[in-house]
Formats: sequence, C-alpha cells, structure tokens
Amino acid sequence: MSDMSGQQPWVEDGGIGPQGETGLAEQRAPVATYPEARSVPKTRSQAALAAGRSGIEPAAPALPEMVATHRLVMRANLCAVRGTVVRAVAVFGPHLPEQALDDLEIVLSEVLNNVVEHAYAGLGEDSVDLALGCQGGDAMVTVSDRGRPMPAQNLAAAPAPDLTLPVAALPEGGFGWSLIRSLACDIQYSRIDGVNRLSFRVPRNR
Amino acid sequence: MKLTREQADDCLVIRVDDDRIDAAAAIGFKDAMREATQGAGARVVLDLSRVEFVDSSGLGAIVAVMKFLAPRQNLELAGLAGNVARVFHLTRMDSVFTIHGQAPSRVCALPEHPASGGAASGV
Repeated sequence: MSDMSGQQPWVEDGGIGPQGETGLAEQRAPVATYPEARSVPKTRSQAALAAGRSGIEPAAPALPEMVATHRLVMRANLCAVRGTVVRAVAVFGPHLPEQALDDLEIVLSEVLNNVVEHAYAGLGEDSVDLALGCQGGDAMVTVSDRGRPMPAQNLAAAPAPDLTLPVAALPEGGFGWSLIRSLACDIQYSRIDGVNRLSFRVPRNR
Repeated sequence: MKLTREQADDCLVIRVDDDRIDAAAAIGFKDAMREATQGAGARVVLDLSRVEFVDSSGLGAIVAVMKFLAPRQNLELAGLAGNVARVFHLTRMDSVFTIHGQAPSRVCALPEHPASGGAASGV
C-alpha cells in the first residue's frame, strides 16, 4: 500500500518532508496572501510548472482527513488548470494504478474548471490552492479558493439528463458534477472565513 | 485548435491534432469546426484518435458542433480511446453519437456488403 508521507520527499520538487522540517508548515497562510506564482521558489521541474503557472510549496499543516504531502498553487485561469492537472497526476504517478490516475485527471479537471468558471468568474484572477496526499493508498485532494460560495445543490445527485431528446435540445453543459460524483468519493465542502474548501478522494481501485 | 480535413467517399473526416479538448480549448474548437465544416456534405466524422483528454467542456463543445451541423448534417465520431471514451461513456453521451472505432479514412470506404476479395479486406 502506497504511503507518500513516510517516503523520501520528491527532492526534485524542493523538499516535501514531514511536517515541521521546513519551518513553514506551522504557518497557515490564507490563500489571499500567496505570492505571485512566478515568485514561488522553483524546482528542476520548472518548465512543467511554468506551463501550468503553478508552484510547489512545502506542505500545509495537516488537514483533519489526511496528511498533505504536496501543495500546488494555481492561478485561476483555464490554461493553468491544464498544467496543474498534469502536475497533480504526476505527483500521484508512482502511487496509483493507471486507471486511478485517469480518474483523478477527470475529477480534478472538473473541480478546477468549476473554481475558475464559477467561484472566481468576474472576480479577477486569484489563486487556487491544492493540497495533495495519500490515505490508505487512495488519492486525497483538497482544493481551496476565495471565490463565491458553491451552491449546495452541486453535491446532491441530480437526475441524469434526458438524452433521448431531439438533437437541438441536447444539453451542452452540466456534465461536470456527474463526472465528479461518478469517480470521486468522500466529497466534502466547507466555507470558513471566506475560503471555500472542496475535498475528495479518488480510490486506487474502482 | 489544429484540425486536418480529409474528404473521403461520402463523408468529410476532420481529425483533431491537439491532444486535449478541454475548457481552455472549447471555444477555439467550436470556432475551428465551424470553419472546417463549411461546405461539407451530409456526413462529418470527427476523428479523435489523437486526442487524449476531453473534459465536460470539451464534451459540450462537441455536442454544440453536432447541434449546429444538424439537421442538414450528421456528426459522427471516430477513434475514441482511454479517458476520452471514458468521459463519453460515464455521461452516456456515447449513446447519442454514432461512434466508429476504426481509422476514419476507412469508415466511408466500408461497403454495404463485404467484397469477395481485395478492397475491403483487412479493414
């Protein structure tokens, strides 16, 4: 069973390490004061990071549900979503089977698209924080943002769209949450002090 | 969004040469498809064999293309694999499209009845 927290940190990512070693783990920096992505200390994966405009920072303090061993910071635009998803999948690469990585790619793309397109729409390009970790061999992700509150009905199972409708009436949207619910579990949302937190688990086995 | 057009017997095959049709690319994809389908006949086959990832926005864009081509033109799909096939299947949108597994250049060359030798073999 994979356990990221006890392993040698991804040295090429600037040192993830157990809590406290970096001296930064004790601080819980609110999203709003994250440095500009460009000024985040870069690593040898700079090219990949630049493409996604995200940065690697030492782990945030442990969240109740998991120990975060990686943290990514993403600027809230759709191009950055692409690079950040690729980066997050790479983080879990050694620890999850291929199918779970595929599922994670889908779920995380939908979650991050939602943050950019709904939480932050019209509010300007803020940053999004991802905390990544393993728990019981599954991938655990928490996405935090300072955008609008998420409508509660997103978490509720919605009736499937009627696909027998004539072509002209077929839906062009609304598929995202059903994809998230199909592939992720333990989906939780909270909003505290203006920060949205959405966490989910992508199991290693379907 | 890079597209390659190939006129086959009775259909226009449009191959997507980018590896992702996602939220960042969705609008560009729709615009490129409008242009690429100008003057096309009744059948348009979208070849996704080089596409590795389609998210819900990409899926919606493909549906939008199907809708703007209809009713005069039908949009069919080919070359779905991996996570692209998975997204279509999970959303059940694979029931909405005619989907070909094979290379698009042969889709339209398939005869109604197999030939006794030669041309259609090996497809």
